[in-house]
Amino acid sequence: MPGYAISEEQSEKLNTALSDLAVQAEADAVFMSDCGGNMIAHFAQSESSAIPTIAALAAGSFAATRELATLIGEPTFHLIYHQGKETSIYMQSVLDFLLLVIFGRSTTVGLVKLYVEKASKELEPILKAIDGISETPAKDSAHPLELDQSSGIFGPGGQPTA
Amino acid sequence: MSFVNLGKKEINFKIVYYGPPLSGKTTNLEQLHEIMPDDVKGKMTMLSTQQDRTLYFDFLPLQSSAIKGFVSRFQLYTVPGQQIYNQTRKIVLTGVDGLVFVADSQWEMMEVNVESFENLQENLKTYNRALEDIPYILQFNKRDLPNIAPSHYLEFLLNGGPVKALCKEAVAVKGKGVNDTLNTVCKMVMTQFIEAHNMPSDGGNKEPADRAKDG
Ligand SMILES: Nc1nc2c(ncn2[C@@H]2O[C@H](COP(=O)(O)OP(=O)(O)OP(=O)(O)O)[C@@H](O)[C@H]2O)c(=O)[nH]1
Ligand SMILES: [Mg+2]
Repeated sequence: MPGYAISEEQSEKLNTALSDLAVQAEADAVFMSDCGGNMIAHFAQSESSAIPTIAALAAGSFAATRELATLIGEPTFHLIYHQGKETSIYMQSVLDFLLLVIFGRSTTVGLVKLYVEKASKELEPILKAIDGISETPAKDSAHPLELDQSSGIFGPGGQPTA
Repeated sequence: MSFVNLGKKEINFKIVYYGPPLSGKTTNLEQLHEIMPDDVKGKMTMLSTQQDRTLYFDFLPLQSSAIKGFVSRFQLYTVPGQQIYNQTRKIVLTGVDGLVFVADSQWEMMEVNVESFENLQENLKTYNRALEDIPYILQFNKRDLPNIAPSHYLEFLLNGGPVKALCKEAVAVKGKGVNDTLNTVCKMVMTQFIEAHNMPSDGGNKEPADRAKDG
């Protein structure tokens, strides 16, 4: 079965790298997602319910861009930049993952790019280590995983009769 | 391609609604968004044309505490059914954990149902994956219409493969069968995940090559 896991330690390392990047580049938020649209780590000034959506859209736009590259004979575009009036987005691929930086007018795209390059170097070994993963949730919790059958999968509200 | 974050005690699953044009994939997600309680659902996003046809995908994140000790996050996607969008359909299939094939029950749609089902299998093949290995169910939608094929005929057309899929009848516009479909596929996905992870993991559990490269 395809799938992968990151350990508590790896998760912490990623979080540290992302928050360092956010501080250095003076960004509002930094996200890391995979190609399938999973958010694997993030650092944001404020928590938001939009986070899963950001990962899905980032993965989607990167995939579309990669197809465009293929059509015009480029091996790949490894970065995307959207310039906004107040807030801008900078995305760069790091191995099979995507790094996404959201920043305002307190910083510049040049600075963001510089620190993203630096952060990528630090992130690469952490991400490469995920490759050989042998962690499983069962091992971690020392108990076998179990389905809670007491209520519906999405709670009692998720079981309407209509 | 389930993704587990042991730091956050989270498991992520991707469920894709596939099927021919206008079969009711987007309607399924819209209805789910309507009936799910606020603490379960996130924001629904639709990337559609001005005519409300899906252009890239629809997206609805849901969360559940069905696996003890973890937050299970289900990311629901639909694909665009229109033939010209095959490239985007393929992209949306990246890392899929569970599939719902939404068939249109109307007699005149039998050919496009079969075409779409074959297209699904071809697209999975480009990721070296096979339908038999992925939990999936068939939803026979639009059961409210007068000119529909009987379910056993749809089964004959779409369910002749080596693995027999579960079939659910639905009237997605009225929300009928929508929740049942989702619950069933989510349960299958979690069961498969739990079985794989509860196996003794001395060496046999490593799958370094498969993950994120899937795209
Ligand atoms: N009568 C009836 N109509 C339905 C049902 N489900 C969906 N529809 C209608 O079918 C049309 C297409 O539905 P969508 O959900 O947009 O279809 P889709 O599969 O997302 O279509 P694409 O995005 O183009 O692939 C809409 O007008 C729906 O209202 C149903 O159960 N019964
Ligand atoms: Mg649609």
